[in-house]
Amino acid sequence: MSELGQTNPLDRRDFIVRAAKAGAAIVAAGGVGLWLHDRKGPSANAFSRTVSLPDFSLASTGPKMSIVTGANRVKTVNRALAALGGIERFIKSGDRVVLKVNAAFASPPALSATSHPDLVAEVARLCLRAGARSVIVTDNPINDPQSCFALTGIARAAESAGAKIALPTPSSFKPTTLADATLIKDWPLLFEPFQGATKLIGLAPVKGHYRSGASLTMKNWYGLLGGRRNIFHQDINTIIFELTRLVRPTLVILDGTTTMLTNGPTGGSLDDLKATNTMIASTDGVAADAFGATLLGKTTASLPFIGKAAAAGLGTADFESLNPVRDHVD
Amino acid sequence: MPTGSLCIRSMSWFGSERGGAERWAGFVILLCLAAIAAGVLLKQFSFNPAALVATAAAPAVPGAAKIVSSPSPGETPTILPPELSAFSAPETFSADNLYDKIDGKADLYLTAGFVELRCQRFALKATNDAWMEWFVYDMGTLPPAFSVFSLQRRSEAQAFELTEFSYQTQNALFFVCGRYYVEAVTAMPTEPMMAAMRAMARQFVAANPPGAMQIPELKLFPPENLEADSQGLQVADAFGFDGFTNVFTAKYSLPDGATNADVLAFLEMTRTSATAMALRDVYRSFLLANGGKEIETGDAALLGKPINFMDSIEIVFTEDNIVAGVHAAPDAASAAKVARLLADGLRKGKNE
Repeated sequence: MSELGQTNPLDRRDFIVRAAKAGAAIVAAGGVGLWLHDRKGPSANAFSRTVSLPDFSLASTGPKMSIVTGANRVKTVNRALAALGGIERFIKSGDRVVLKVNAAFASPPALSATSHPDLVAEVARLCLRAGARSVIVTDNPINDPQSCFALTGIARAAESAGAKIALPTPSSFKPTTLADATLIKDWPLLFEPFQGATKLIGLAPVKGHYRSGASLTMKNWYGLLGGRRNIFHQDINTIIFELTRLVRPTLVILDGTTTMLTNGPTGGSLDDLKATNTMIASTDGVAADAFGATLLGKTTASLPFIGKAAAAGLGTADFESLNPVRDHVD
Repeated sequence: MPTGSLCIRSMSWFGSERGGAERWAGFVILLCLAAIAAGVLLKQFSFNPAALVATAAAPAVPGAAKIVSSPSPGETPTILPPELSAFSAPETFSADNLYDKIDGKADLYLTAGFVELRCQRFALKATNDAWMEWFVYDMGTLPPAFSVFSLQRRSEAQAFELTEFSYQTQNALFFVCGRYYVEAVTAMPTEPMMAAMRAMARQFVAANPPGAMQIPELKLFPPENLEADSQGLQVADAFGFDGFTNVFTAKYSLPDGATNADVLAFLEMTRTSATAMALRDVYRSFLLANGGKEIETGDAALLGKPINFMDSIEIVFTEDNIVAGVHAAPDAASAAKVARLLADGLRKGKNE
């Protein structure tokens, strides 16, 4: 401490000089920080560029919907599409069609956790009959893709109908960014099957979902995301809403032949299921989901993603306003 | 150089008597530290989950992230009945990748204290295309295992005499064995397959003896009018209230009164009676703050005023260190009846 006593006392001039130096140091540090600041934020450098899906919707068709009751999927989907003017209204000669199925789990079709193979095969067949040059069936499952497509019966059914299966590989993904999005920023998107595609049809089963309340056509687009997408479960309604903004399909088909009422999305017991015998086809996924909610005994108000999408003008939650064509087949 | 001298040197680097490389080295170091701090501060405002999580931490294809390992002793090989053979490799999932197996349902397990999932598919040797999947969820202890068991209990459950907590449906078995919650699921519920699954379940229990599976809270529910197998445990956010963390529930049916309603009774044990009263008050405040209205009944002195909450009746009271009550009862009369029944049972249980 003796040395401290030997230093000169701080006078006014010294204080001002020292304060000025300290201020300069702070300004310099701030300047360097500002200079280093990356205003764009980090990017997913594993990829060279971002991609976006084209708008596959048809302006000429407008919002339409059909609801057909019956236990036979092949019959009900044919009738539902006929009620919208036939598959030819959506699929033209030379089209390259992508069918986005729900193959999320390596689960047999009887448990209704995935798109039913009979439905997948029939829609693929109809597309090819309408003149489609190719039909690709794809999804990025939760479980191992090969097992999922095999054990759900989707692979065999699709291939028997003349469609091709596109299993995701790491190179199938490209980053995508949705404008003004909260969650979809530089996120890996299952893109490879869409290269050259001209039409997109979503095929989703009706299921309850522990996190989102329901898994319907809008939630089905979740299967296009790669990466550790489970972090989105913390904001499930926003991610479903953003996916609905991101993906504009030609058509969606909601399979309510069997509804998973409880313990979704995996189910497990046949007791989780109820025969609701309804097939919905629509160009408006929001309307299809609003109807699908009724099969689950839910209201649209209890499924916030529907309200968000409707409020953003992505469709209507008032499906009756579309004057859906209703029919029944035995 | 004495330590004090060093301190003074560094403290007085702005001073006029110090100079040279020492001063400038100190200045540069401080400048670098300040720049780093500023950079970190600014960078945190541009968090991008895609870059930080998606591409580096996980492959794009979920299946590729699975950890495949051999089953541990006492599990599948030793419990496998002769009529079954392995149909797939065993898989193991931790809390980090449980989502890769069960997607949105993972949260149910994770909030309950999930430790590990082991699963594998097995086929009947005789047919080979009839297969089932065997899931063993290690939940750490008995109560979490009971929790996930009870929250998924199927309404069409049939008795399956295996452990205190077990049932079967037309295509599946579900049971708790100590710290494990086990599911066996098939899409082809033929009698040979179901018999093989039951045999495997029995051997699992024999290989992993659970001892007496006692959950003391379940015994606090009075047996009168209690629906069989209706008891459950919610370990988080019960009834949408984040203050409830270990709520046991039980369903009561009242066939003999003016109403014929199912009423859900609940209880949570806390450390002290003061804690219980505080939790009761916070829950009441939560209900009232979200639109609930107190209603007058003659039982108010005993159980507190019932609350009409979204057209159903809530009652919450305390008995010593237990918060208890009735949730979402269809009417005030049945709510009061079950609440009285529960209060009497708790008091009696305390005196025994």
